Amino acid sequence: MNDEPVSNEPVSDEPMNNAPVDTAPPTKPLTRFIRPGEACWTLAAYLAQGGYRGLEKALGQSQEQLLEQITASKLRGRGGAGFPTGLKWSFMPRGASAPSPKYLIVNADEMEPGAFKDRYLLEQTPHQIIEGLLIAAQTLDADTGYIFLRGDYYLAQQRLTTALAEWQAHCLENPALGPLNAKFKIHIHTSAGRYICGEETALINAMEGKRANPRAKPPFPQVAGLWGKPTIVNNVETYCNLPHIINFGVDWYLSLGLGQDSGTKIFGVSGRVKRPGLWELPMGTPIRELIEVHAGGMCDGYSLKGYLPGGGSTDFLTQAHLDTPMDYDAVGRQGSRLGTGTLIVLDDSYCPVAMVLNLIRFFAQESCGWCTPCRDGLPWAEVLLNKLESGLGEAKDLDQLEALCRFAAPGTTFCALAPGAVEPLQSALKYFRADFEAHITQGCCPYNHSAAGEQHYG
Amino acid sequence: MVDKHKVDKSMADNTKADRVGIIIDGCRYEVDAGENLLQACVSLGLDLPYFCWHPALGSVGSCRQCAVIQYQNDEDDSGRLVMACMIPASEGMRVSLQQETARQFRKTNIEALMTNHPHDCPVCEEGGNCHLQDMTLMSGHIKRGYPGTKRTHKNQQLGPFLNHEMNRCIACYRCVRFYRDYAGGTDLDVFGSKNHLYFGRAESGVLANPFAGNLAEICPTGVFTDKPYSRHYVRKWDLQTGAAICSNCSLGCNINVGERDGLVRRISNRYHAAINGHFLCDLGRFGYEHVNLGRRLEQPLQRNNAERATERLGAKAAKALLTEIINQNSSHQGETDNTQTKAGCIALGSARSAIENNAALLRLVGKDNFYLGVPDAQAAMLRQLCDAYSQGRVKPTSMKDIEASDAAFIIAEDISHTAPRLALTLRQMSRNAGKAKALTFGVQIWQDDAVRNLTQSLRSPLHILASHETELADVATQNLVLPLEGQLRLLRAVLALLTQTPPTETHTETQIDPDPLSGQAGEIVADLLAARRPVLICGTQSNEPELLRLCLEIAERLQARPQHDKDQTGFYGVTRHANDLFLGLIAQAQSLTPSPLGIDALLSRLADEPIETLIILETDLYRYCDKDRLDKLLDRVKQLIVIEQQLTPTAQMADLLLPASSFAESQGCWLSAEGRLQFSFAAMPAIEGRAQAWQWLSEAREQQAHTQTQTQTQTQTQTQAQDEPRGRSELIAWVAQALPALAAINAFAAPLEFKTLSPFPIARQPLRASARTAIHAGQHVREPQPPADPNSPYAYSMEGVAGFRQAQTQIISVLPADAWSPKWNSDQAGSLRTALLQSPQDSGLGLSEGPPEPGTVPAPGADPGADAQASDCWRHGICIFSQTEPGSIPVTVSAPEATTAAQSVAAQSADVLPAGVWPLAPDANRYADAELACLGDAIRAAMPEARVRLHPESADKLGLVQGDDIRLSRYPSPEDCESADVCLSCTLDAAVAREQLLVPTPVFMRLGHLARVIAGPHGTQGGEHD
Repeated sequence: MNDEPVSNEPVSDEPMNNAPVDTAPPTKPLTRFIRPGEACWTLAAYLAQGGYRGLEKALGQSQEQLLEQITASKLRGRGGAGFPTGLKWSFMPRGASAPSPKYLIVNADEMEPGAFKDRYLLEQTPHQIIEGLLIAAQTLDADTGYIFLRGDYYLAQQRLTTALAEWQAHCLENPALGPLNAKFKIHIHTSAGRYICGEETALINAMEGKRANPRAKPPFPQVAGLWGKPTIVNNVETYCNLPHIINFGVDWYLSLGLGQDSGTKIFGVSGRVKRPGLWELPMGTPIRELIEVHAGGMCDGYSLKGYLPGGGSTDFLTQAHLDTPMDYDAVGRQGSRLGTGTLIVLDDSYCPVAMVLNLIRFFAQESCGWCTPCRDGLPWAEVLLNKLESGLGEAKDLDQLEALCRFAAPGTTFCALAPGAVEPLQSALKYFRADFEAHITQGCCPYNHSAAGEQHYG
Repeated sequence: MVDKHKVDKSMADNTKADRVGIIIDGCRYEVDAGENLLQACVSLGLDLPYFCWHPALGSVGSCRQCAVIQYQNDEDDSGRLVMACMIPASEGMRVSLQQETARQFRKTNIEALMTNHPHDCPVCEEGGNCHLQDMTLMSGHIKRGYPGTKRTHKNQQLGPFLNHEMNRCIACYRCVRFYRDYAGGTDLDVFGSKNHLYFGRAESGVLANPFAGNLAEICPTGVFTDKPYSRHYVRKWDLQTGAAICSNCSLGCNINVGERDGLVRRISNRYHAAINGHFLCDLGRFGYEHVNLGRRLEQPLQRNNAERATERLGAKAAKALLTEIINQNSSHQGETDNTQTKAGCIALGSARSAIENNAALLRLVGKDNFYLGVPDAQAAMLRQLCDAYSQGRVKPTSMKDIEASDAAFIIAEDISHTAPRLALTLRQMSRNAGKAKALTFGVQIWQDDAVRNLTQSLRSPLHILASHETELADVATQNLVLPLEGQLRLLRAVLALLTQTPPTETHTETQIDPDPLSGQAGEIVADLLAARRPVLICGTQSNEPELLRLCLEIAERLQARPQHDKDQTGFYGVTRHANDLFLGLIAQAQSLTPSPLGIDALLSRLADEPIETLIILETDLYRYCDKDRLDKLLDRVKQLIVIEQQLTPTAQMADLLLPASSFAESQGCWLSAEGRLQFSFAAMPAIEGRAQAWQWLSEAREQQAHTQTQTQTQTQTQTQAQDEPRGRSELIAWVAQALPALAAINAFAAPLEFKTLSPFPIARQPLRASARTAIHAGQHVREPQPPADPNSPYAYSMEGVAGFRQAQTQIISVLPADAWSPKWNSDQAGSLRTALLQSPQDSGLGLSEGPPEPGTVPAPGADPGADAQASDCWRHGICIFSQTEPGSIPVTVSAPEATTAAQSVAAQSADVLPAGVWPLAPDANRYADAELACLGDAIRAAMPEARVRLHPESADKLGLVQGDDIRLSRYPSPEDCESADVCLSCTLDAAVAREQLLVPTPVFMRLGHLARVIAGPHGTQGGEHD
């Protein structure tokens, strides 16, 4: 079972597991409701599998108790930055004197290149997200919840909308849920579609109908976010963890992780591997296990050249780092980031310059245009990579690319987009420099990816 | 590190609580606590480049150009890169501007900014006046490394004021931040993303905001440039510049007038902390083209009735003729001394002419023969204002203080049109509640983005009472749209609530039924009383003295409320013309006469008695009176002398017409509506045939003085240049004596004594840099001698103290001539640094222990109040009412009843008026109402079509639909002649009060408060369109 991909395509024909799921604490809480081939996204299926038990428990507890559990669980944000959720929540004003209304936002604007984990959760277990959101609302005494959904996720939108309606009907039948339902309203907001909307303050601006530029901080959204009111923005997967932490307890959750970090995570692998897909695995699962066991290893005839461990905006790692556990700090120590935990594999037949060009082109296009290093630095890097890939590169271009990486380093830009964008570039220059130089010395792409570079330059 | 020891211990001990010591590149400086580091560095005179920051707009951290290295502690020697504009200066902070990482980052940053910038400096109008050029040079980017192609954009037509060249854009966001966030505009925005940002309108069209012209200054490069300037463009270094005062409205904004070859080329903002700050309105910036008109009067003209011809006169001959005419009368007057039965010479002053000119006329004819160049009702209101100010009952507030207020009530004055810059100030005032909220979150108010996010829709209370929804409606707490009668009722209700006694004038209706307005009045009063610094804005637009009386009384009551220590009550009385308040002071001096001597009084005097000589100074009577009637009245005058800039209808009636110099060629004092006396310098000399009125009149005056004993002497041996300074200082001394409230004018008696810190005058022109000196080469290769300018500290020359070198920034700031230095070359940077460096008291900044730049002089005294009057009057002006305590200025106060004598029937409710008679209200328009400015092409293009605006319900009553013509005539119709009709098309507008018609100001001034609607929708089309 361990190496069975949980991705929904293709649907597995495996027989349904009819045993009650919550007799024993699960090892894969996030996907425990997902039954391939079944309509597991419906309220009936969710309840039948033991859904909304977490909320039930949460309703009997005080806000302080709940927050304590979240903090003690060491849950870290699953959107990519890995900020401790309990700590983030603790910044939100509480008590009678707190400003109101308070907002909760589910960041479901999954646009990171290579990441498709949120989509899976959104489509398969919309109720799990709603339950997580309700627990957060109960903890933080919030008034309104928004699910900021990537506009292209039509199926998710459809299932979420249905799930919300089901939930509301369920509340009407269930008097115990009445007060919470009366206080806390959930809305789905489909994004008009920009990568930058994944940045929480840009997301808030977008929701206010403004340009999706990130905001100056402080004030942080927890204090003054949407409409200037206290706001918490968390990733889909983060919310999905909440019901289980409350349901099965902090100790159980802490015991799930293999290393420092607690809980499980949905990891993904894409690229030329035998079985690309998603798996829910304990935090700290080694990269080697992920690629070689779960993804089935490289396709025949290809070997692993490098990989982006956490999606398109993380630094390349190589063969040498395969034994690194996938947790926040361990990957960080290797000079990259866990990010979204969705790994992109680069094989030896694909040109690293072309791959970086493809990524940089995306990030340059998605720059909101607010600060100079991102707005003008990324297109500049794109021009240089294009030039290299077209065989027109010069030695000085590599120096310039390195300078541009420093130019868009963390701290020089307004938000994290550009520093993330140059991470694959700066690490490619480090690990695959010979490939870059070969483009210059051979006057063409040694991999013959002539189609990779559009002729922007020339 | 070594430099740390240089810190002066004693100085550190003396540090006030709000000053902190910071260490920049090893030197210790003292700066204001909490101000952002960029502002601190620039204030210290350090070269730190920036784009997106602006002192008036705050910091957003978008351009990343002001990067510096900040060290965490004494041990930290690598530091980290921070944006100076985004961090507050704090005690002990250690930063470096020069550290290599920071320098390299700034260099790369500007290179990135320039990747798409065209190489068109030689043909770009911003060239030589470009912040981007300056910053590029400063950052050390010389060689282009970017190998790609540049993106291109299509430009837009943005109307008569601005050019648009988007390819030059470096995406600093200043334009949209100013236009949308600061000025409240909606039709300019940023589109697209990446480096394909587009700053413009959704499609080509006229930029609607009346402050759009500031984009030309606020844009750091040549995206938005001044369109009228480009029609007669010269490089900035070829301009001859004068520090002038805008005369288009009563606010007294400070401007720089740039001239070359006898043409005014452009007007730019001259920073004045208490008035215009960094921004001008479009009328002020573009309303100068009348000066350049070819049809302007160039030579004195004399009507020869015998030959039915007009004769041109030389300046000398004209003066002689003027002297002759006046002296005939004054001798005549001498005979009939004191009897006043037959006036020899009477005069009409001007509200749009300098104090000197009016004073010379006043002295010539005597105060009983001097009429104020405004209608009687206006004169009465001006006197009300002056009385209240000089008795200390109400104190006028500076615009800077209004901006700092926390609640405002705008009463029956459409300031967006009658005093546009003040409207911009109130828009900022409305943000103060948000800023206060930000402070509670520990966010500095210069953190523009953060403050806006915290503010959202929170606004300081702003109540607007008007006859229609004004342009400030979007930031108002309450828009009260009422006709005049309702406005008066509301004000009485406000007053009653403030005094907590029933209104003095109780209406029978109110006793039966509580006034429906009392709820709104209650909200207004509650907000005003809850505020610590409430401000009332009113004015003379209503033409209704009773309304102003109520406003003044409300201001007094508000002042009398229980207050805390630093609480203030603000008041601003907007007037219609630049020098209106000075006329009010004259009206005070005339207070023995029962009613004010305005235009109506003059006209009745013309009707009542034959007048020998009438001198009209820069007033077009036809703006106030029907043509037929006025023609007849002026025909009764034997000698009509008109001193005027343009050939107005009144000027066409003159027997002797003397051309007046325009604001660009004149120097003199102006009294703003705030009571601020300011001196305006000329940018260029007047041509031979033109002069200021006081100069025309000076000879006549001298003759008059000697007339009893002397026969006329044809020639004066003294040259004009020697004569003038004495004549002017004598005149000023006379004004100070005749009008005690204006005693402070003595400070401006002798501009020559102005401290230039140098024995030489300040050059109006920059150093020889291009072809300036070849202007006259077509006539002669020899350069003509520069014209003398004995009245001013400036010279019409490039010789003298260079007012445009960085080393002399002190002088620039005192009276900015033209800034030029290799690093801070653009106007905007110049004015910004001027603001920061030169006005410590205004900006809260000052030069401290920084290394003094060679040639700089110590900063002026840090205490504003102490020495402001003596040395700073040339820069700040003098607030003549600021020191006024009750009774400190002797005035003969007319009884309040007298001022309300002019109360019209207009205050009556519409339903008691006879059928067909409708109340009128003025529909001000900043462009159409500007008598001189609207002669220029750019302003004319911005003028709307004259029309009547009315509520759809009113239109129903009249049976009118949109676009129908409506014909109005004066009510009650004048006895002495038939009133001409006014025919205008009508516009239906639900934002206009019911039961009234909104007519263009000129029509309102002619018809008054009531009009008979004499033709409905399908009436005859024969009427003259106005």
